[in-house]
Amino acid sequence: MLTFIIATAIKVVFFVVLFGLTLSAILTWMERRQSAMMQDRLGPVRANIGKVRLWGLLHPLADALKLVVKEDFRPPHAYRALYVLAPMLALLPALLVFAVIPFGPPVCIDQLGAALADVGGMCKPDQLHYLQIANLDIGLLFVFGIASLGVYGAVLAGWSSNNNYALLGGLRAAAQMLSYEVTMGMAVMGIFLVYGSLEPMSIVEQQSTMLDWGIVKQPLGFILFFFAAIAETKRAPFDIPEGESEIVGYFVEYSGTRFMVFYLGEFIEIVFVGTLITTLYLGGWQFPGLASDGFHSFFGFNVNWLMPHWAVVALQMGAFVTKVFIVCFFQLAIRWTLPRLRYDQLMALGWKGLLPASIFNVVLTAAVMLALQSVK
Amino acid sequence: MLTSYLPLLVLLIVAVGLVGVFTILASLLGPSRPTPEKDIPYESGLDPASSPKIHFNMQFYRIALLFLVFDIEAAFFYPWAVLYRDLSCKGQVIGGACHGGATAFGILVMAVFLTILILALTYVWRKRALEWD
Repeated sequence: MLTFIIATAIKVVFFVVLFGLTLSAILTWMERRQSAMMQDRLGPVRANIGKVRLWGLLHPLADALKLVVKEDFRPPHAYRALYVLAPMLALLPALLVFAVIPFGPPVCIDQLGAALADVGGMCKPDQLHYLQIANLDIGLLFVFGIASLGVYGAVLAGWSSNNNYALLGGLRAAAQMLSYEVTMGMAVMGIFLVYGSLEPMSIVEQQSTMLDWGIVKQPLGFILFFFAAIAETKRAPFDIPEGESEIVGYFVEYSGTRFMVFYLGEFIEIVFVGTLITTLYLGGWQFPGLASDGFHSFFGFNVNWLMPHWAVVALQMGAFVTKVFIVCFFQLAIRWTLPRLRYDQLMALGWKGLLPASIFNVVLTAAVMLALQSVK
Repeated sequence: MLTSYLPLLVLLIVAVGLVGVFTILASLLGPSRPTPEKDIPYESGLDPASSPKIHFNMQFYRIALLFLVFDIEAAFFYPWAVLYRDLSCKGQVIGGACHGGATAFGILVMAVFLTILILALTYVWRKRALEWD
């Protein structure tokens, strides 16, 4: 029992703290560098420790330091307890949803400590280790349940600030997140139909070749899910709730560390959307052509490169991180590519565009599956 | 069975700890120097013109109700979606492949429910409950 808890704690530290928080810190820098390049300027490159500059990668550190030592301003007109609670409620769900994301294949570690593949379920239960914090049968139901709690952070921040702008921003954010959650839940249904499971590890295991990837079997579902996910994380072009300089949003009365918590929460959500889309639609940790004992074909060429299982696992985890990074990069690049939607357009797109389209996607998927079944 | 949920508890403790540390850091490291001007609610530099205790737009309430209805209905889809391969197979499903003929039972069952859902959406649409003005 104790070893189980320690193993879980190590996984939590690696997957959430080291991977999630570090990648989101890098993304805050990357977003600013990316916008700078698109606008023909340099962006943040000057933070340094002595002579070490690292192309500006020290900026997230400098930002965090600056925000933490800023004045801890709690407006006297705010409702104190809820005002303090709101940023915590915004960040907490974003951390919890990482629980079911598989970062790699199940690994079987025998008595001698060697890593083996779990071929045909031969591995003993106490030797089988998941590169996933919790292997839940209801995995994705848990994700959507917890993710929907994120709306409390926005609503309570807006309401407890006792400020006209903040209240309106909070209401807009809540309505937007609720509306797009319906679409998100409907769009992902196609994945459940195709793979017949709510468990992310089993969904990834079924995407062993590139033709089995979710994006190939669910192209419309992928687009709908991607749109809805961007709206859920309140990113451009759906960034009315927090449009940083022009529109006053729900966290207008927040500054310093408490603002940083909101900001961090947003970027962790970007990372999470990256991991979720990778898991559901881009084959998760699957490396194209890589079987559990090495490569038998490599992009169409017949080869026979055998390798130890630990190397296979390392390659697959590398593939996962790379895919997540690409999806995150794409999410950031959209920001300077598309203009922001007006609020009524945003609601119309959600309810009149994406929701009917996602219902259509469910019907289409079910019908095609039935047709393929009948042909066989 | 419940042990598979134990990792969630570990994650919850770490996450709450992390969030708590941030909140404590805020009050520990940040100085506090209030001035009368700073304490006024932000309204683009002007004195607040009205209290935020307003009757907010009805439309937000309507959206919340619609969300409740449609999200719960989406939740009803989940078990059907997971079992769809079994529901549309006459024989047994082994390893994701159906042994035996296909049957339209699965899709027909959901067609009934889906028709009601689409009717509801059309009604809401026609009643202009999705308009924003």
